[in-house]
Amino acid sequence: MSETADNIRIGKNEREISMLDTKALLDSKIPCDETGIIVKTGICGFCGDACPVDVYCKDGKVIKVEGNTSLPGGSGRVCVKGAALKQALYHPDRLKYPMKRTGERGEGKFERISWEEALTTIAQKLSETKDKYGAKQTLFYAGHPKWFRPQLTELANEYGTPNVGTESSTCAYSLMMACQSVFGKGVMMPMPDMRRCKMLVVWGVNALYSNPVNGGGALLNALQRGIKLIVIDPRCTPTTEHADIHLRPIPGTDGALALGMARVIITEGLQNQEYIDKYTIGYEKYRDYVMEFTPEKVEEITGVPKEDMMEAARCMAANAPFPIQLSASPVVHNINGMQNARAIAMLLALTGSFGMPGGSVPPGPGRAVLKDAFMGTRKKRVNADQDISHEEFPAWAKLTEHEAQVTKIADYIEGKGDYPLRTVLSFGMNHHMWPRPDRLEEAFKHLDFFVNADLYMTDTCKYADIILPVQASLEREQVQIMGFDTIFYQGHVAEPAGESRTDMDIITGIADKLGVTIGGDEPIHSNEEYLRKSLTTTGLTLEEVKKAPDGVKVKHRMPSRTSEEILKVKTPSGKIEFFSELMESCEKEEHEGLPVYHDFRENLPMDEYPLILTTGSRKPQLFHSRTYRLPWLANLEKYPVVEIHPEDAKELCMKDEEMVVLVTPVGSMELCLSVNSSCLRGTVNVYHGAGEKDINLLLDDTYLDPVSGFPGYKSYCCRLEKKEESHE
Amino acid sequence: MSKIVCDEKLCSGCLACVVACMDQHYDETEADAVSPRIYEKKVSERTGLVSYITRSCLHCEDAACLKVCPMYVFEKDEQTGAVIAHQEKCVGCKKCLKACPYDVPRFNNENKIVKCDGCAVRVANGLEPACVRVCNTGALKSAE
Repeated sequence: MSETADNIRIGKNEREISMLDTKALLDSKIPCDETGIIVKTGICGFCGDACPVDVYCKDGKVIKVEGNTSLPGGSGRVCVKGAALKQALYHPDRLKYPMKRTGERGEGKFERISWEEALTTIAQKLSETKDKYGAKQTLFYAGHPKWFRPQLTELANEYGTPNVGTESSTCAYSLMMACQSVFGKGVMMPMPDMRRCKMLVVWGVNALYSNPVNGGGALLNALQRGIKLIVIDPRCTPTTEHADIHLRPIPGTDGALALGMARVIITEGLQNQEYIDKYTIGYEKYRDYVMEFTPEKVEEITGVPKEDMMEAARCMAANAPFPIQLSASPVVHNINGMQNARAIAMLLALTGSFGMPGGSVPPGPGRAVLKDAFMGTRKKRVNADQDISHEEFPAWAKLTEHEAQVTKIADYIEGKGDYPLRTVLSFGMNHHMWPRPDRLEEAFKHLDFFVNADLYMTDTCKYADIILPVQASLEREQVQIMGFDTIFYQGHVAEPAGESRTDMDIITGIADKLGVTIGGDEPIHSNEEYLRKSLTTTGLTLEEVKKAPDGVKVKHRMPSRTSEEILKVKTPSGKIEFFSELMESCEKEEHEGLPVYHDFRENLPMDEYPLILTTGSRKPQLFHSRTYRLPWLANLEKYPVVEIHPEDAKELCMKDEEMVVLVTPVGSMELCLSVNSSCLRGTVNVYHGAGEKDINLLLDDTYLDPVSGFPGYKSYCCRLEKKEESHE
Repeated sequence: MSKIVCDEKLCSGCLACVVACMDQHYDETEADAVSPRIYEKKVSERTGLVSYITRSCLHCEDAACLKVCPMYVFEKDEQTGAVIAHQEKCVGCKKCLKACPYDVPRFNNENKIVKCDGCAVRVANGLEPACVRVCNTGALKSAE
């Protein structure tokens, strides 16, 4: 490898160049002296993960991207989204300069201003809100990406508002609440031991489509080792194709399924009693409760044949310790989701799988960490008990202390909370992610002042007073942990678009104009100072990592952990909790200490809207609304569609590719029908984020999990009508 | 070799190969780019799952397209065995499409042929074809 600055790895003639003319070499983008094409190592970052990529550059422009092989974790592969990275990087919608609004909110009329004017105005407006109404009437918000969240919280603290909210209000925090209520603080997403497990339970994840390339790779590697695979997913996916047992519960009934499995395990004496006695609390209450979930009752609730459920439960017990692979959202995107997720998590306790080799959260060597990095850092907020969601979501307040629950942002802006939110400083907000984005568009008009920083001129940007251009991943200097313990520095692999800046430089720039400093005892004033600080936990300096194009091993990493150490859990009782006093003490509806199952269908008008509407599933080429912007990805398939099982389509006399009308209690929308037997009968599936055909327009924004505040994206109700009928 | 084979059991239908092929062969401004790599719906026999399978030119030893083309668009690359289409010569008569036993040739907006070149120049220079390099599951391999 050639060792040069700025991440250039290939460029010299390392191999014999085939005797071809230069045009042929150029057309095929062959990196060599003849073509002047060089290959740099970069970080894709398109979806929020940090996959290493080889970036082919010619005359300073990115001309091709492929998976990297030189760094630990570099498989040489990149997902379908990453393969279109240059189209994202050079998209005509990229923001290049700070701008201020000149037309009406939503109209999209802006004029270019200087960074000086932008930052000065922002600081002035933030100060005005604070002086006039108090700091808490300003919301600091982070959507995508996420890496600067701890520092945004620091800025909010310096400014004085507890109202820091993120897109995690509908993403992962409900699952994290569930896991922390059972396994204690710090256990957010229980990592499966993919390398040692004998059997794997995949609960609502299709890693082959929705994980970074290495996530799908880990599943395939485990399968190659010959593990047994149980997949619980209403839909058929490429992952379920590999399953030994595939259970297909009706969306939103996962809790009943987990409780039914627990009953099978307990009645057949297959639980790990020694583990339960030693490490858990509340087992008797749990045991008594799960007895209600007889196989017959569970079949009735979930639609899963009882024999299949029982076989899966026995298989789990026989192969314990086993891991359960969960994803951020599918289980908790139901109005009973948080309690359902607790019921699932408890299967790990019942079978002695948590904290054990081959289970979830296994013992093993510690990873490298970066100081104050988003993953693992949860900054305390000032006056957290005064945040806008504190009273309404008490379990959230106790289990998600570092931010407010902002799903009801439209209500809060309109003054329907304890106090109004008048000013919003946001990074990467996409209001289409929430149910009823149209309501939020109206609410935006009530704001005194609204800033949004983003890569693109998004619909949300059009409502902002000032918009700020940020650098894409390939454009910004960053350090990343690769594999377990290697640090990689990426410089400006691509020239930053226009005057775009890093999110961190924007945060420190605003701090500067406000006359405050973030970073506490180790203050930071720029992205570079942030990078220097982040490396302090690794024992390396920025200069050292800059000199190592193939990464460098850290000098310090987290200590390794034994099962005993992992099982000293940080719950209020110090034990794994089958019964949570913390939940019970909230004294609110559905906040039971036990993982009580509440059927979501009881409150839905299922007579009029008999189909269950599931949204938010992934296709490999879709990442929320972001990839609809890219022609190569958007053009791969017809969008948007509503998927339905062939038998349901037949009953409705509807055909594949027919335009139909989807009707919910909120509204209706024309969509193209896709007859697809991977759908569960009685359930239809619509992909989210598709511009004009935004399915969130049809979801009720009061249809929320009372514990977590998460919308019921996966289990709302609808009906389908022939196009003609609905016109009558 | 430029011939690429697909292990259908491993293929997840993610279409990374299709987009990687476009990334290799097109500029990002070419929004309507036609991918030389062809993708088609497949239905799992076991479960009825609908997904995709992808394929491309087999670079036949005795290529029918090469024989039938009146414009001499096609050329057999001696080093890699790839059947290369020189698009600029194509007049869009589609005789190659009729002759091809595998339904491989595709045509762009200007009615000019789009076909897999086996990434012959990459292969000649020791690199894998773009689709093989990107394949997320290891389903695509260069044939021996």
